[in-house]
Amino acid sequence: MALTQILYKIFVKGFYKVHSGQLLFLFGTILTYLFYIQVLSDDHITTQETIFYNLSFILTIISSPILAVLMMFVFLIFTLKGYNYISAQIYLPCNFFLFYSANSLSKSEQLKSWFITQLLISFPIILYIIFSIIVGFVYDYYLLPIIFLCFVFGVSLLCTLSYIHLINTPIKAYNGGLLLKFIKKWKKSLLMITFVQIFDKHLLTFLISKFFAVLLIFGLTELLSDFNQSALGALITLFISLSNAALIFEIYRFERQYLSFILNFPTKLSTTFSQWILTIIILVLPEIIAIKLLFDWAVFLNSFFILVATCLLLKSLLLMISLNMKSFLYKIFILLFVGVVLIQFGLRTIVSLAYLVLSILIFCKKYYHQI
Amino acid sequence: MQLSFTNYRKAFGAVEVLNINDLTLESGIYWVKGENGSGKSTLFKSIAGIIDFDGNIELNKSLNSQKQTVEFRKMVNFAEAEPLFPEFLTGKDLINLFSEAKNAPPSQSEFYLNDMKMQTYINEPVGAYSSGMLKKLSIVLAFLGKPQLILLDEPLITLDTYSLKILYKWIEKKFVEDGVSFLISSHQPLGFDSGIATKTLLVENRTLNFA
Repeated sequence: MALTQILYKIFVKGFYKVHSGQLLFLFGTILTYLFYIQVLSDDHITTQETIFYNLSFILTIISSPILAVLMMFVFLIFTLKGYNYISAQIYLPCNFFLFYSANSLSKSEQLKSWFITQLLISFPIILYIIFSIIVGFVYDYYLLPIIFLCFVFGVSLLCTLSYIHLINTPIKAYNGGLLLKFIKKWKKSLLMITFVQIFDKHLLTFLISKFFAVLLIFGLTELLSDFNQSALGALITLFISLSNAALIFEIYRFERQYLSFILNFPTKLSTTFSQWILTIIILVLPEIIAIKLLFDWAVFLNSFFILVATCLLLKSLLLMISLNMKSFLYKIFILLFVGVVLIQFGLRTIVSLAYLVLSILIFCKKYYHQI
Repeated sequence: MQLSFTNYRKAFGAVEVLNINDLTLESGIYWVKGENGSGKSTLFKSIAGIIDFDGNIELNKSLNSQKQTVEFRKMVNFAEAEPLFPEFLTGKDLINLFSEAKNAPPSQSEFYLNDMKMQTYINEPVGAYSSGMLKKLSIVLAFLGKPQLILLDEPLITLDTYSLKILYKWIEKKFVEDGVSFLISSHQPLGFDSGIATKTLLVENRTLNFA
């Protein structure tokens, strides 16, 4: 169907392109690293035991009602994220043609196309559910996986009906949300413009990032309480700075698309870089507070500098590669790898200093030479 | 004002879009002609310092766009062909931001807003603006401060006849009274009532020349 193909090209491809960083972090880093990693000196764990532990993990989720509810909550968040993305993209001027083409089709055809689109967005979780169903049938725990599947299909259907409603309703004049009405009379600096954009357009991404980052801080601190506190603080900080990569990418995308005129402003490089530092500090403020609550001043300050320096370096790297997510992901993993190795060798101060100096150098060299 | 290009080259990947070996433009009002996709907007964005390029663009032989970044940008203002601003900002927010950045005299914007009859909607979010309203706003922003050169990319499209007359009046006044030069890209000839002399530049065969 022509509409399905168009919706696939605009929304499905767009969704995975924009969120590939977060998806890779969620499914790749967290699940693979935390649950399926091959440990060093694993000669004391047999292959059978590894399979047993992995299956236990799956079986616990599909047999425990509490964990099942938790998983359904994760599925709901993921589906809502897809809904949030599509319902915002529909109103971009480049997609206005849908309002005088897609809605000419019969409602059943529209339903089919939008439903397939939503299911393709939810593909990672559907894949996981299918895997759970197979395991469930083998071990006689098939009720919860089937409930998972019905739940995801049900939520997807609701999203689909909402898309059809949106596309068949005339576009209203832009009026802004509650936040925008509240700050309408405030003077808006570039810093404020950036955060209004985040809270207006990426609130869900922001909240999810912060939720997982704070969860990671408290969880790892509890799990690895016998670790050297300085090394632990530094490692946690490195991970959470990278979990902010998606938001940093969104800020850069916004600046390139809507604030390119600031490159024509007569602003000193030092002033612009100071604004960058302030932006990063505000962005990671919840994590900064969480780290302060858990560690003493010495560990906190060290972690704070690593956090800010790594985030600044991520932002500077975007000046070199622009909106190339694939290249950005490679660089994120290089930063993570180098950072972890240096921290393991006790070179925590070197990490923050090296990343800060590197970010300043790239910024000075590339700010007025962006692609 | 003197704008010079030395070994200027702009490419997107392996595709060269523009190449200007050596060209100097003296003060004046320039009509920049060229077919669709010939590189007019790329040229304007390069001069404004928004996109990267190889070579040098200098103002008055002393201000290099990529070395004396602050001084150069005080002197060069730019209005895009298809302006794109965050939809939640009001026209007034953008006027305040540009006035501060470009160090515009107090109440300078009031004159332009009144002249273009924009006061009725200037406090509304730009997401609710029509393309013509957005175009007028971007033109007003380009006139703020004390520039020596204003780049107007396709300023004539989407403007109504009244606003067009006002724009021509502003350009003429700025050029005659303040000595401000203009580079104006357009597919139609410029129509100054006073018959003020304009020069014509042609973007063709991936370079810029006098027509």
